[in-house]
Amino acid sequence: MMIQYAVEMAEKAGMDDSIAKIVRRKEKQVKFHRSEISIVKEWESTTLEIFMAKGKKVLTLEIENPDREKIRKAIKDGKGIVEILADKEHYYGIGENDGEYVDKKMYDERVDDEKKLLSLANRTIDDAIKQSEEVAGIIYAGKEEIELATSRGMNEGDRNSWLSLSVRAFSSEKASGHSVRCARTFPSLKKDAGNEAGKIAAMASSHPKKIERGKYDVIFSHLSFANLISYMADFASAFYVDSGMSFLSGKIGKEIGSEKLSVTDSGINPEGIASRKFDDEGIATGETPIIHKGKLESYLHNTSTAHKHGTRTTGNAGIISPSPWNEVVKPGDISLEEMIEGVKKGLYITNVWYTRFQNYMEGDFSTIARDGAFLIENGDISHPVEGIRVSDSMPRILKNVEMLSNDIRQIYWWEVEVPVFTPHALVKNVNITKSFL
Amino acid sequence: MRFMPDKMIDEDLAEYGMKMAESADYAEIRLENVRGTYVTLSNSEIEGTSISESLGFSVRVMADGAMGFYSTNVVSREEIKKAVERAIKMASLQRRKGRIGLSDEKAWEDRWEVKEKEKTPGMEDIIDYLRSLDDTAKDGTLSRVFFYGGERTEKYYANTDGAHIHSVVPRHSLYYLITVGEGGKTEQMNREFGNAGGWEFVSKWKAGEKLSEDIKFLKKLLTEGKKPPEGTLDVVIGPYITGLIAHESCGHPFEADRIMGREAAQAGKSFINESMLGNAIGSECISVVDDPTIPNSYGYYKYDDEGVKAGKRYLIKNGVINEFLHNRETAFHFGRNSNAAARASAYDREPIVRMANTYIQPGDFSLEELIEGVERGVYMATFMEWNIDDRRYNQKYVGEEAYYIEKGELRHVVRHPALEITTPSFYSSVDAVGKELEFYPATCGKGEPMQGVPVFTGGGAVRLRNVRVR
Repeated sequence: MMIQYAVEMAEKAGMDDSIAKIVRRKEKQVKFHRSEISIVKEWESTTLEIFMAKGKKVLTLEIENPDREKIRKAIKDGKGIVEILADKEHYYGIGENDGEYVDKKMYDERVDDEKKLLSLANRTIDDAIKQSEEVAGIIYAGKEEIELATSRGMNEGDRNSWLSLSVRAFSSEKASGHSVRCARTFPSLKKDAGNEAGKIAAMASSHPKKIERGKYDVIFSHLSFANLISYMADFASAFYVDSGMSFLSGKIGKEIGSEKLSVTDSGINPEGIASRKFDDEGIATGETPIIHKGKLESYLHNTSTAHKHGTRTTGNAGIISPSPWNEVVKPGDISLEEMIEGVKKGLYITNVWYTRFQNYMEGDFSTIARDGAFLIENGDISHPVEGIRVSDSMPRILKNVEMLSNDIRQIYWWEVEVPVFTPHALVKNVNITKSFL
Repeated sequence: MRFMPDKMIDEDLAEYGMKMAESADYAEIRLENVRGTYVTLSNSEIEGTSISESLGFSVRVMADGAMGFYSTNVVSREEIKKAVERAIKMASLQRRKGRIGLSDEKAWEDRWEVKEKEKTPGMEDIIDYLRSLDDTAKDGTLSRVFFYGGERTEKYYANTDGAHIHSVVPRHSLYYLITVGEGGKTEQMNREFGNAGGWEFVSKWKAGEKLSEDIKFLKKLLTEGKKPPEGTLDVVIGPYITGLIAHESCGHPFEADRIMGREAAQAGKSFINESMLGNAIGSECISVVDDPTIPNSYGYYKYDDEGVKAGKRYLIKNGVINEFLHNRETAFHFGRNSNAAARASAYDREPIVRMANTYIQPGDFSLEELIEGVERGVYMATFMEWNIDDRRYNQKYVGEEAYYIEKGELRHVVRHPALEITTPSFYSSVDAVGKELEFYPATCGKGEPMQGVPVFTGGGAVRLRNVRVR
């Protein structure tokens, strides 16, 4: 096997540690706009990553469509580079797996059947256009086989499949609705996104109202709260923490959120589209509570960052930067309708985009509402609102989480790059701004 | 170092692919080889060094009035034949009601290259360079992270119209983020540097000097920064931000694929439509240009990824909406010719409408003159936070390096003044443009899967009259 050959060659080259990971991936995409298919794409790729370390000198090599000759040459040249590198002070070797590999992930060999994907696209367009004027969206499906071998004797395989459907319906130039569904198998994907996007678009076009800048109680939808949690998950990476790119720095054991808020990183969720059997060191993935009842419990670690922080790896390697798998926000016990009923004056924001930070350490940021934002008055959705922006800070938002709904949905799309299972969230006193002119 | 044989791009394979595609209405192939070197240094520690080499291709076809695309990194005659067949199948399955078309364009044959005066040095020298930057910053910062990337992209493009174009473009880039602390509070600044060309540009960036200036300013901001003035006042914006504004609120909404709704589900649409061509959108002193042909610019190209020869484009000319950015698909849709805005970030991405180097054309004023003309206002030189809605209408820019202006002079540093303004209001509020043209590199994101492409943003400084800041 290619990966074992790579590890053997690295050992022969005098490396103390080595990891070889090969990924064979097949993906398809159906893109549509103006209520018709725009393009259908297909990809096939085979990529090999080799990590090699001598002492504390580390190097990563990436080779596409590998063969033995390429591997032999890459390792020979890589050896020359490793020898001249400076030490990575906080490199502490690659971990040895002492956990059990849990693999209850759903898998669908036919997840990328192009006829099914096209049929789903057409159905979604038909559903959405009933309540709107124009529909655009994307269906993205893929499957992969991963093999990983390490100089610690690990040699394992994994396979994954995933599917995401993102659809946006427009009822006018300014009014739109967006819906996202994702799953690991085609049969388990809910096919109602077109209906949902069309419904929001229709609501968004009805008598929009201008509102003043100020503090509002905001109900964040699945899409919008997932966006914020996905950033939070990236900030939980120990690499981000150590590099001054995280407001979670120095907060382990401290209250960083409302006691209603618990967020767990899960690499083993059977339905999580980023679930994996093992991380890039071969360590079994698991579940890591990041926030438990508002308290910051853990960062996400690989072996070296864990050693540096005096803890154990969480099975989230990335060799350089630990990375999140799927985030799961613990749901509450009320429905969205009950949540809305409890708001006297507030906003329901169905989607956000363009989240940007003024200061990653402080967590100051803003993000723009899109695809239907609604004013809530005395427990009822009264009017759509336009042109608003959440201008606040992550620590304040997390601390002001007042309620979480009982409906949880997995979100993964263009603006949510880490899959998040989330309920709706009611956040008190959110600062809302808008353009003056 | 190279993992692969010397002759990476086999042009005969591409020609074979085009022969195989004769049954399609149109086909094109892009073969690409990218050799990359990347180093991450965080707080004096080399976090990661990596070397990558990729080789792959994609085939895009038009068949039955629809578009199909196939890509793989297995490069062989068998795979090219398969790619053509699969791409045709992907197109023919669609059964569109309306037919997609491509504009008629001249088929060019050319070989072009961006020359390197200095070759990329070995990893040791690259690390030494980053260490020298880290040494500059370590006493004055709480934390700092540097990312260096060097890539050499060799590409061969051919299409069934007869285009054959070979190119080689080396690029270097650097990004840093620094955090400065004082009294329990922090401030951050990030910067990006980049050029198409050789290692000689790395010393031209003067990143060490910028780093020292940024640290000095952030300390001043922490210790002397005051609350910004609120209300209606004048604002002078430096080229570091005007370039971003030109990119976000002119370049993006002038992308014809947004206007026709092709990116509506992700990057969004545009508040601009075809009927607005020729309409005034701003002051007469405002012209916005997008020009891929600026030598050694980060967004440089001679031909786009549909084989169309690139040239300078006036998006806004003297305050009037003048031209949109087109690829061949949008040009056909709008009944005109492409202006060579088709770019693909890698072999496995479809070419879509993109900017290259977008800037506000310089005017006649020095920065001092712009400031002298302000009774009460703010000068914003750099930013951290910004965003804009998906119609490119409502936007926000938050100053990082910013000053209070009173009676034509800079008085003191102000903390995070925020300009939230609509696009027409911004361009209409400009009464003067600076004469110093500066460019800043950036990576522009669009498309799904995401395509990050190198661009310059830039311009002269501008002065806005009577806008709201808080």
